[in-house]
Amino acid sequence: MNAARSGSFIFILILIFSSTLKINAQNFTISGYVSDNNTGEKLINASVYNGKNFKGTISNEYGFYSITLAQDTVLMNYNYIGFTTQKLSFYLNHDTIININLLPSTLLEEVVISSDKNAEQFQERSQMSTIEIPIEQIKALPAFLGEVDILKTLQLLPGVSGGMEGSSGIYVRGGSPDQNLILLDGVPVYNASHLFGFFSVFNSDAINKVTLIKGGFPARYGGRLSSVIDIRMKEGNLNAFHGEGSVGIIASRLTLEGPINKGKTSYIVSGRRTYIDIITRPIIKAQNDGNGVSGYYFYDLNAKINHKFSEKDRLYISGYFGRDKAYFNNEYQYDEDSYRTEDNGLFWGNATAVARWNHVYTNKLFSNLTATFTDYKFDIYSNYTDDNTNGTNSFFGFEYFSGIYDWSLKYDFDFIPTPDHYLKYGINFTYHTFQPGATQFESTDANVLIDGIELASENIYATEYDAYIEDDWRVNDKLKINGGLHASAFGVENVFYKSLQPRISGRYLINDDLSIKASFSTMTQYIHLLTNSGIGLPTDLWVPATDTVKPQRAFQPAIGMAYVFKKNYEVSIEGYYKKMNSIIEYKDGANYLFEGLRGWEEKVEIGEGQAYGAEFFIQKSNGKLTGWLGYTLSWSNRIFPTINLGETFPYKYDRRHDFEIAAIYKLNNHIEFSGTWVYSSGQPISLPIAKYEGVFNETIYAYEGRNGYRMNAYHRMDVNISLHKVIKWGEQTWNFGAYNLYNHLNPFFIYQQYDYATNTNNYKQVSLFPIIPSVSYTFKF
Amino acid sequence: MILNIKNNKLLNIAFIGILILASCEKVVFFEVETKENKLVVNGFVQPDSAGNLTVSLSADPLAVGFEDERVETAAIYIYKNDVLAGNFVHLGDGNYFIDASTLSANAGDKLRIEASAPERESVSAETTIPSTVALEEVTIIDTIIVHVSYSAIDSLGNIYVLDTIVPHYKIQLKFTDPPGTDYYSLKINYKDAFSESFTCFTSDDPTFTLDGEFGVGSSNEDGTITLCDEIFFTDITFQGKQKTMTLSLLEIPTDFFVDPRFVFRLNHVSEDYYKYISSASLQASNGDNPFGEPVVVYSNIFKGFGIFAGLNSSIVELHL
Repeated sequence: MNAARSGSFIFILILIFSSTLKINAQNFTISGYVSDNNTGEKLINASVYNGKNFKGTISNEYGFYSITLAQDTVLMNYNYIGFTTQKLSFYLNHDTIININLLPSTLLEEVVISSDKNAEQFQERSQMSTIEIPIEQIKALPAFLGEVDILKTLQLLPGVSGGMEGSSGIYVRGGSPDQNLILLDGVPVYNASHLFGFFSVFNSDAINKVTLIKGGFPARYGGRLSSVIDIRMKEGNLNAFHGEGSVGIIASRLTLEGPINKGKTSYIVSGRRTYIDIITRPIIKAQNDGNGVSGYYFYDLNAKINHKFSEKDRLYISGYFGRDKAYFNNEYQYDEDSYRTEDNGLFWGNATAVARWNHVYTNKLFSNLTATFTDYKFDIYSNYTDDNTNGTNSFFGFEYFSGIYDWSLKYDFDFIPTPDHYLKYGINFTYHTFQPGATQFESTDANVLIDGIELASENIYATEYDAYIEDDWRVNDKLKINGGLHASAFGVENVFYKSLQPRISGRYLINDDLSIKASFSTMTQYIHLLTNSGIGLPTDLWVPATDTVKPQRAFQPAIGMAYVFKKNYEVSIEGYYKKMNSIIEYKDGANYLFEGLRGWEEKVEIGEGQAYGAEFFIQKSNGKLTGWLGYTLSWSNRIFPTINLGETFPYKYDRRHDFEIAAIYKLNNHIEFSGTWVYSSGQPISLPIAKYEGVFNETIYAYEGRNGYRMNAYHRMDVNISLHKVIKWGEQTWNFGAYNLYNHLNPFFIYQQYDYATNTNNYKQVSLFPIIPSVSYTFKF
Repeated sequence: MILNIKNNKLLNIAFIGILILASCEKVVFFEVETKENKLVVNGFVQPDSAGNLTVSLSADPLAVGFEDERVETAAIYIYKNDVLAGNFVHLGDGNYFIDASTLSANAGDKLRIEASAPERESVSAETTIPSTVALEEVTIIDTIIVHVSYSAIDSLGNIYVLDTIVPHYKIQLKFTDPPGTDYYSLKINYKDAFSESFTCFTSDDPTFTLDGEFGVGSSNEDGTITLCDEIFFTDITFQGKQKTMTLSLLEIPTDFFVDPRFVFRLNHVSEDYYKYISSASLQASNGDNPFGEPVVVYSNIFKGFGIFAGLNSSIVELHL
C-alpha cells in the first residue's frame, strides 16, 4: 500500500467512524478550557468527570476538554494536580461551554503537591510506559551546579539511562540518543545538549509540562524508535506581569511574563547565559601573558506569545534559540615583519519556531494547525590576519560547518463524540534539508594554496509525510483501549519509503486499585545520526535513509501492572521487549570528522539491536514527602555483520541494574529538602585480556568481544535544601546543594598509562566530578 | 599546513569546554582481573607443502617490554579428515614443522590440530584447504616506455647522470571464481636472478577498495588506488564468474636487473585466514584513533589465540 493510499484509507476510516457515531438526541456536550486561575495558563491533562457516573475525559495539550453526557443532573469535577478540585452541579439540558479556572492549593496545601484524584487518574490511563513529572518536582530536586535540568531529571526514571557521568544524554530502553523524539512545543529539537552534553538546552523556568513516553506510543507520534519527550512551554501569564530569575555559580536566568491585553494576549520571555568565560577570562589572560583569550559559554532564549481571538480561536507563536560557543583568540608577533591576530572557535545550537492556531469547530471537534521550523547548526572556524610592517596585511580563514533544518506543517484534530471515545487524527508534512559537512578556505596570502570550497557536499533534501488516527476507547467500565495507526512515507533523492505502524495499548481494571496494562507499537525512523561511538560531540551528523541504508524500524510489546495503595502511592511494574532493525554504527576504524558526508554509507554497518527488561516504579505525589523510587533490570545488545566479528555484543549503554530514588520533603512553607540517589551497573567497555604475537610478528591485543568488560558501578547522591521567604516584592529562595555528596569517584573513562617510577603499565580511571557544592538564588515577583 | 590547523589547533579549541570541566578530573587506579597466559598458535597449510607453526604464550596486556615467549615443549598433532596424520616436530625457538609427505594435504581436506604444553590448557583449531583457483591468464596488454634520467654518485664521489628507460606495464589477470563466497589475496613480486621483493600496482578495479583491502593503499587523483604487498579481497563483485583484473605496475628500471620478471601469486584463502588478516590489520591501523572502538581480532584457536588456516596458491611468472 503506498503512502497516498494509506492516507486515504485513514481518512475514509475517520469519515466512516464519524458518521457511525450517532449523537443521541438526549445527550448534550459540555466543553471549554481548564486554566490556572492565577496565571491563565492552560492546564494539560486536567481530569474532567461527572461524579455521578464517573464518566470523564481529560483536557488536551491546549487545556481544551469536551464531554458528552445524557440529559440529567450532573456533578462535574475539575481536577488537576496541585490545584483545588472544583465541582459544579447543574441540570444538563443543552450544550454548555464552561471555562474553568482552578485555584492552586492554598497555604499548607500549597507547599505540597496534592491531588485527591491523582491515583484515580493513574488507573484511568490506557496508555502505559508514560511518566509525567510536574515541573515543580523537577525544580525542587537537586541540580548539578545549581542548574535545573529537565533531561537529567528524566534520567532518574526507570528505563532511562544517562550515559556517561555528568551527561544529559537520554538512552531509553536500550535505544540510542538519536531515537528520542524531543519535542519543544511540538517541534523536534535535534541536539538537546549544551556544553558537550553536560547540560540540556531546556530552561526550566519556561517549561510548563514534561512527558516521557517509553513505549506503547500513541499513533499521533512518529519518526523515532525509542521515546517521545514532549516538553510544553508556558504560555505566559494572562492576568498580571510576573518575573522569575536565578543567579547561580555558572549561569543566571530571567523569565518575564505578563498580559499584553489582559485576558486575551500574553507573552513569556526567558533567557539564560553561563559566565564561565567571564569568570575565567582574567586567569586565562594572565596565563597567556595578556595576549590570548579563550573561553566557553552558552545561552538560550525562549519566547512565546499567545492571543485569544475568540472562544473558538487562539494563536500561539513561540520560539527557541540557543548557542554554545567556545573561542580562542590571540595576538602575537608572528615574525620580524608581521603581527598576527588569531580568531578561532566553534559554535553550535538549535533554533526553533512554531506558530499554532487552535480552532474549535464544534464543541466536540478541536483542531490545531501548526507550522514549525527547526534548525541545528555546527560551525568551527579558524582565522588569522597578519599585519605586516610594510603596511600590507594577509588573511587566512578556515571554516567547517554542518547542520539540518526542517520546515513542517501539520493539522491535528481532537474529536470527542462520546465519553467513551476520544479520537485524535491528523496529517503532517515535513521538508528536511540536510546540510552535510563542508570545509571552506579563504585566503589573501599568495603563498597559501587555496582551492576555495573544499570537501563540500551538496545539500540533501527530503520530504516526510505522516498521517494518523487513534481512538482512546472505553470499551466498558473495566477495559479501555487506545488503538491507532500511524502511516508515514519518506522521499529522498531516488528512493521513497513508506510505512504503516499499528499501535495499541490497553488497560483492564481488576479492581479500583489494580489494573493490568499491555501495549504493542511499531515505529519507523527515517533519519540516522552519524556519531563516533561514546563521544557526544556537536559534530554528530544527521543523515537521511538512503537506498542502501534503510530507515530504522522497531517494534515493542510491553506488559505491566499498575497498583495504587493508600491512595497516595502509585506502583507500576512493566516488562518490555524491543527489536530494532537497520540501525547503524561506524565500521571498525572508520571516522568521518571533517570529511562531511562523502561516502558515509560505505563507512557504516547496518545491524540490529534488541533490548528487554523489567521496570519497577513507585511514586508518591501527595503529602509533605513526594518523590519516587525506580528500578530497572535490563539488557541491550547489538549485532552487526563484521563488528565484533559478527557476534552479539552489549550496547555501550547497557546497564544490568539501574536504581534511583528521588525525594522531596517540604518541612514547612519555608524549608524544603530534596535528595536523589542513583546506582547503575558499570558501563561496558572493551579492555584487552591478553596480548600475543601475530603471524607477522606483530603484537595483537585480545579482547573478550566488544564491550566485554565492565567499569565500576556508578552511584551518587545529590542533596539540596531550599529556603523560601516571602518578601515585600515577591518571593525569594536560596538553594544550597551538593552534587555527589559522599564524593564517590565514578568512572568516566579508563586508559592505560606507563608508570616510569615502577616500570609498570596500569589502567587508570578518570573521574570527572568529586563532591561539588552549589548555591543559587532564585526570585519571583 | 591545512592539516596542521585541523588536527592541532581547532581540535584543541573544540575541547575547551571539556578542559574547563577537566579541572574536576581525578584519576584513580582501576584494577583488572588478570587472565592466565594461553597458548598462541600461528600457522598455515597448503596442498603438497610442509606445514609450519609457531607456538608461543600470550602475555598480560599490561606487561612491559612484551616479547613473545616461545613454547619449545609443545606436542602438536594434526588430523586430516578426522584421521591422525602425524605430529609436528620442534625445529627450535617455538617453530614446529611437519613435512609435506607426512601431511599430504589436498584441496578440500579438513585439517585439525591439537596442541598441548606442560601447565597450559590444550588448544585446538580446524581449517579446510581451499580449492585451487588458477591464474588462467597473465598478459601484458600495454607497455609505455618512459625515458628517465637519474642522478647518481660514483665511487669517487662524482655526480653523473644516467639515462634509462622505464616501462609501465598494464597487466591483465584472469581467473575463475568457484561458486559460493571466496576469499583471496594477491601479491606481486619483482624478481631477478639475485633478489625478490614485492612491487606496488595501481588499479581502478572495484574489487580493490581502500576500505576493503588490507595491504598498504592510497588513493590517486585519477580515481585509481595504489596497492602494495599482499592485498586481500573477496569475490563479492564476481561471485562464481570469471574475473578479469587490469593492473598497472609501477615502473622498474629494467636496465639494472638480470632476467627480470614479475611473480604473480593468487592465494585462495580460507575464511579463517581472511577474517584474521582483516581484523588484525584493522586493529593495527585503528590503534591511534582516539574515537575508535578497539577491534576484536579473529582467532580460530579454541581455548587459545592465533590462527591456523589453509590456503591454496597459484603462481605465474611473467618474464620481461
